[in-house]
Formats: sequence, C-alpha cells, structure tokens
Amino acid sequence: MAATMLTELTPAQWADIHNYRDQLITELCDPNGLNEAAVTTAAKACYAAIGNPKPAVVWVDGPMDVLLAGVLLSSTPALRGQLGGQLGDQLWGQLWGQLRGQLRDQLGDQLWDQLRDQLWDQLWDQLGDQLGDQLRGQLRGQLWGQLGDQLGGQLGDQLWGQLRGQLGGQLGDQLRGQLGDQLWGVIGHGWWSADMAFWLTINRLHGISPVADDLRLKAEAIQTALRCHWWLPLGGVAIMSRQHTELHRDNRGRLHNPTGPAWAWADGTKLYALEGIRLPDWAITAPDPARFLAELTNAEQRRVAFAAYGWQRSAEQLGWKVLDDSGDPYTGCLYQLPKGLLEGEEGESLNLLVGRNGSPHPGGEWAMYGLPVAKRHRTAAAAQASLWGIEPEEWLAVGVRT
Amino acid sequence: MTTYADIATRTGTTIPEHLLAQAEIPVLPRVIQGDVMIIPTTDTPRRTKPIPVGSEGVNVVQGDIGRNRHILSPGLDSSIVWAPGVVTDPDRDYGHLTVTSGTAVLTHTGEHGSVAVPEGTYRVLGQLDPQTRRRVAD
Repeated sequence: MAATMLTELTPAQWADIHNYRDQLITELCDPNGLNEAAVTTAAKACYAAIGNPKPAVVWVDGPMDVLLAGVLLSSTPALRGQLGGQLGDQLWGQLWGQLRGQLRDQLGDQLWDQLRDQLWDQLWDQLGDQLGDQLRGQLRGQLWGQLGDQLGGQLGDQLWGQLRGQLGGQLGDQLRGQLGDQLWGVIGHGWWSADMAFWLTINRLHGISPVADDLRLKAEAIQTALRCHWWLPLGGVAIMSRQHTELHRDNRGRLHNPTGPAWAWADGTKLYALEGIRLPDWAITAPDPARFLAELTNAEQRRVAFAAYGWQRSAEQLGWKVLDDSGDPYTGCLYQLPKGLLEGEEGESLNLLVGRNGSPHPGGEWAMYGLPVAKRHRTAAAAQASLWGIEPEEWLAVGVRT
Repeated sequence: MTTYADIATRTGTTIPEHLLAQAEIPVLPRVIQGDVMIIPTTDTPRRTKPIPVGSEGVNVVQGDIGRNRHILSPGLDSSIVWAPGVVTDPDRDYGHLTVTSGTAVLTHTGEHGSVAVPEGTYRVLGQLDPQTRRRVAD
C-alpha cells in the first residue's frame, strides 16, 4: 500500500486525460495515423526485452497479407535469416512481389482456420506472457494501490472503458468475427495498446509515484508496437500490417458505411457493416430487399439492411400488403408477402411481422425488426405469440418488455 | 429492491448509457428481454442438472463474438437455481429457472434493460424462426 493515495484529479488533469484518450482513438483510426518507423523500432525493442535477437521487420498491406507472408516465412526459416541483412528490404520486396499473388491463389480455397498451427509461434506466447501479462501485472501492482477506489473507478470508466469499448469492442471484435477465433489468436492486435496507454497515463499523473524507468520503457515499447493493428511475430522476423486505407464509423464508434466498405486495407481485405453489424458486400454495394428476406436470416443483419434501404420503400417495391396493423409499435404490423418472396426450409410461403424493439438503442432510436411468420396467422399478436410457441393471450399478458 | 448498478457490479457488465444506474429493476412474473422470455411453468425440466447460480450469474444466451449476452443472476438477498435444457419445447427452451427466494434478474450486455421475476418456477425460452427452423439469431 502506498503511503499516500491519490483520490481526485483537478479539472485540468481530467481534460488532459480526455484529450489524450480522444487523440489516441483518432490516431489508431486514422489511415495516416501510424508511424511505421516508430513501430519498427518498438517491435525490435519488444523482442530485445524478452531476450530475443532483434528481428527483421517487414511491412505488408493488410491483415490477409500478414497471414500470407506468415505462411511464406514460417515455411522458409533460411529466408528469415537473410532478411536481417543489409539487402533484406530489397530481397523481401522482390520475393513478396513475385509470390504474393501465387500464394493467394494457392490458399484461396484453404480454410484460414487450418493455418493456425502453421502460423503459431512460441514467440507470441513469450511476448504476450512476458511483455503483456507480466508488465500489466507489475504496472497494476505498483500503480493501482496509489489510487482511491472512486478515482480508480472513474479512470476505469472514462479512460479504459472508452478505449476498450471503441477500439476493442467496436473494431477489434469485428475483425475477429471476420477472421475467426482461431486466427484471431495468431495475429497480434493493436487494441491492447489501449491497455498499456491506460497504465502509462496513470503513471504520469501528478501525485503518483512513477514506476522504474526500465518498466516504463518496456511498457512504452509495447504500447508503440501495438499501435500497428495487426502483426505476426516470428523468430527472426516480425510481419506488420500497414494501416487501413478506409475506416468509417458512426457517432457511437461503430463500423458503419452505407455506401461502401466500412473498413478496408490495400491488400483487398474489406469489411462491410452498418451500425457495427457486419454484412455481405452485396447488401451495401447492390442492396436488394428481396435478397435481404431470402439470404439475411440473422435478425440484426436484416434489421440494419432494411433500415438503410427503407421499410416503406421495400414494402412498396415488393408488394407487401398489410394484414393487421396492431397500432402498438411493439406488437407491430403483419404483412402478407407475395408468394415465393419469403420461404421456409420446406418451401412453405411465409409472411413478415415488422415490430419495434422493447427498448430504445442507447442513441435513443427505436429498432424495427422483420420476423418471418407462418401464413396462417391473421393478427400481429397471434404472429408474435407463434414465434414463442405460446397462445396470444399469454403473449399479451407479458408484464414488461425491454 | 435491486438496481441496475447492483447487478452490473456483480455480473461484471456495463450499464447501457441510456439507462439510469440507480433505477429499480422491474419485477413481474412474465417478462421479455429482446429475444428471451421468462414465463411461469409447472413443468419440470427434462434430463437436465440444476445448478445454483452465484452472484456473477450465468450466460443464458451468447450471441456472435460474445455480443448480446443475456445473463441470469440472483437479485440482492436472493437464491436461484438454473437447469439448462428442455422444459417442454426442444426448439425454443433455454432452460428451467427456480427462484427459491427473492428475485432472478435477466441482464443484457446490449441495449435491453434488465428485468426480474419473483419466487416461482419458470421456463426461459427464445423465439423460433420459421424460415430457418432455428432460434431467432442476432
């Protein structure tokens, strides 16, 4: 326990923290926000900090290229040694230019998840354990006790919570969904830069006894290295992804672009999303409400796709007819759909129930959902009850819906 | 009385920004939270093993990449038992809930407010999508 405890910050200190937080989020999201020279130096420092020789650092154009380069370099250990030499950059440039397309074709049909074992390197464990977990533990051990409970909670909410939520939750998890959990574990991801940023910010506070320089320098190195969102550390070489070329977010920090990819890299990796919900590319580039019904079976995907296209526009375009408008937005409106527009697993025609969520979204907007229902129902309440497998009276007796 | 803040602290979740931390969680015998419903039942669970639930709660539903979790936990000074599995409907049931004392609270990690049910026995169920013949997925 520290002799003195910091229990509150001045308004000026809070302003500094908020500015720093917002600036860090902006930099990590900015296509031009990555200082590759600084990251290269920091990545080498990370290797040195765990007692490994400084690696050659190669830069590629995006997360898929990180994986492709990983396949190439993990299968050619001799090449890794040559990359550290004076002509390493030139050699890599030539080889990568020749082999990238070939590798991409070869691996095109291979499940990425199967590559995990090939790409896994013990080094990532070492970096994660020694530099990540141990450093974090040391920083926490030395700094957390110097903060009063209330101030610790405030910093957790206003600094760590925001960094983690906007960078990890909204962006990191989306690419995780795209790459799959297995590969997610293989590639390093920049969101943990936010973790080190949190501790280093506390370390700088007036009134806190800072940690030893050696510990701080290691934490700064990993924080800088992790500003690169995607990298793969192998013995002798670290493969780093250049920053994305496009990143579009809504006012809540969620991936969102109704006119193109929400997140894209120069290697051709693209993510399409609305309100943080990933969608297939056609749902954005060639939206078709008939395809929304037939192919977007996830309720959230269908919701955001229809919301962007327009429910009324879809109804008019596809010839939906109102069977029962309950007058209650939660119970919703039951539409009769033309035959063949929406079908079940056995080819049976279905209708569509469009109703509102029980709670507004945090931004205050009410989400409308379109749920397929059997043709036999004549009222929206009966259709609602059928989804739960209960009688309409029982559904109407529900006391609270959120 | 159990508040959002009580449950958020115990389950390690964040209170959605549009909800008031000190607001009391409504307690009623029939509740819906998004795509999860809790209704009274006298049926007993089929071939499932009941487990007492600690204050940290148990995930009843977990969406894609950990999003949209619905967490069942005891309210303050409460005791609940959860038996995951089929009660009456294999296509919809998540499990059987017994609130032996106090309340059981259903918390969502997204936009939905928390709801609670009083002492009693319940089915916890989802919606069946007739297009896919699977539970409604989000």
